[in-house]
Amino acid sequence: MSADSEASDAPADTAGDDEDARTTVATVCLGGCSGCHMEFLNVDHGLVDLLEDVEFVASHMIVDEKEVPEADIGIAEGVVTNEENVEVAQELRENCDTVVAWGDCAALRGIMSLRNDQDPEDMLEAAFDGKADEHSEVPTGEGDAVPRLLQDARPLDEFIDVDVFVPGCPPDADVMEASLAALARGETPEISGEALQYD
Amino acid sequence: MSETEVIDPVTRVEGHGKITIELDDDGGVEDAKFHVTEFRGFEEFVEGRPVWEMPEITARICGICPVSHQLAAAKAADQIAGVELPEGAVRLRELLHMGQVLQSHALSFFYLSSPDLVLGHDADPAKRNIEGVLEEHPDLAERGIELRSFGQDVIAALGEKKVHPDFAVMGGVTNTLDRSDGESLRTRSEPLTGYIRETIDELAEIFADMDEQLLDYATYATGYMGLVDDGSLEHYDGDVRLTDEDGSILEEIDDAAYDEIIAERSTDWSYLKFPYYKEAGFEAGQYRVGPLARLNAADSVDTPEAGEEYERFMAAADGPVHERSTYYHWARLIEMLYCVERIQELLDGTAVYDGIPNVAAKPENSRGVGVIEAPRGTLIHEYEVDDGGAVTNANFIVATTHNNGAMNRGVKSAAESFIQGPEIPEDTLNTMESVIRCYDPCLSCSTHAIGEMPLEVTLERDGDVLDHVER
Ligand code: SF4
Repeated sequence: MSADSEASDAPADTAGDDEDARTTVATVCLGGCSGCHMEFLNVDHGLVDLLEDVEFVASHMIVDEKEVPEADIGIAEGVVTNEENVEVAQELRENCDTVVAWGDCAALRGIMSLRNDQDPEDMLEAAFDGKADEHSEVPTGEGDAVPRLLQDARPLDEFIDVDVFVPGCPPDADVMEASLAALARGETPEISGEALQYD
Repeated sequence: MSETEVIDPVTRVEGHGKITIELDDDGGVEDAKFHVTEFRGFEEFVEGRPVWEMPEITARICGICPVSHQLAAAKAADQIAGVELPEGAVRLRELLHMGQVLQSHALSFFYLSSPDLVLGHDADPAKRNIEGVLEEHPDLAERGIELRSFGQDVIAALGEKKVHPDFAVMGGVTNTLDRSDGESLRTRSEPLTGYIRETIDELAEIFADMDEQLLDYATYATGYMGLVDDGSLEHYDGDVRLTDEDGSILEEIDDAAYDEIIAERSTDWSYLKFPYYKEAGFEAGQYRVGPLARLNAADSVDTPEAGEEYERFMAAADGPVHERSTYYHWARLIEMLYCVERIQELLDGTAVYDGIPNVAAKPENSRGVGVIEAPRGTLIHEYEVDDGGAVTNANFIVATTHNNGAMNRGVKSAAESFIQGPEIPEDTLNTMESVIRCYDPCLSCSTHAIGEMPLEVTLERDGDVLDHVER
């Protein structure tokens, strides 16, 4: 696969509207470590070129947008581990034409699924009651101060339809960039050979 | 009865959190809370696994500072093995760490915070981001991209990957640095100190022009914690120093004794705990960590240019130390300068090329503690293992956790300064969030908590929603 998207000058909509004909992208972080988002920023100066074809309408690390807005492409990092993640995933599916699972966590369930053989309540008990002073309380997700944990941490496609999977922990920035550029051109990204990572 | 506003999620920080503000009947602020809304469970699910897996697994706690977790875990594992590392391994780890602190600080300052600082808290939210900075102040944005990229390339030169490299292991690191990689990094580093000093000057001007209320909305006295080596600023290995609000030393201890001075408390409204200085108790025992705290706690900074900037910084304080949360940004830039200079010194030495990278290590002791200065502050990993080296208990206190009390206090003080009555102006939302951003909280990192930081404020009275603002 080619990673020369920086040079690509023919995005899908060449309508030539002066105001943003760019492909819109929303990214969200579910139960992830932000590492996929971080690796994506490793396109470094390539960001400047990418921004010619692509507009980030939501992305918690870089844009002030709290909702999951309508977008051509919706990208999720992280496993689905609590009730809030489920809601965000569903919004992403509703509001975006194409949904991408970035990284091993979203695509395959990843590191956090190591928690799946324990009961969430026991874990919270141990972490907050067992490892804090005697005046401590356990955040259980009763009420709405914090979202409740799901029984297991599970990959995105067990909750919503996913169109594109980009595995890796994290996937390489060039792979993320090239797949985004392909989607912006209206193509299905080919991720194979070296670009296909599992780590 | 009270009304509640919710800022959910807080954006341009790494992780998941939200803010709620409760108003009293007169529209005054009764309480404000910063909630961390994600629990990830690393402390619990590592139990039963071999301790030598910890550097690789716990790096996944955080994609912003994976190296800090990897190093804290590796240091704890070294103690369990009871080995003394060769000089080469220590310097290679320090080099990795300096690359990491640099890239993370560059992300925090240039990508996340500079939009508020150079475009203004009241700038159009659609523009108030790195793209807006690239348009309005391309030089500044490009400098930031280069600094972050350089730090990431230092990491990649050692551990192959930029995010989640597998480099530090129990007993050392996997390999030495290739000399030609070191030389090209050394050449590329030349202009960086200049970039940072120009940015410090620009920031000083921004602060000089800043409205006082904005500059001071999160100024308060707390204790400060940081590692020191003979009193000097240190990130990789040193003693844990805790000072009072004037910067006078309360404790200076070996890292393994951290639990003698720190206790933690949890609440039912956040997945992030509140640590405090045991002797002073929960209320009086709040302290801060991170760049500002490290500079407040240290007596000196021992590289030439960062040393000079440190003197200038401390001379600008109103009292013996800096209490303004907004000055975290300034301190962060000084630390970036320190990182670049330390990277240059390490690349100019021989240990990173010719040193011995690791020694044989197997579990000998039942407890190990690794403490390191992560970009956002003191990071503690503690493990207990059985005879076979399987983890029986793990406790992590991440930087953001130490700052939890201070962030909550900052949010409350910002709410008190800017919110009267049942409506919340848009720029106030952002001001509240930028308190949080001063601390650059890594919510991914706070294993007990955090995920996404959207911002949503709801105002309630007697359970009825009066106003609800979101972006
Ligand atoms: S796939 Fe790896 S980098 Fe991405 S969120 Fe998961 S742990 Fe982090």
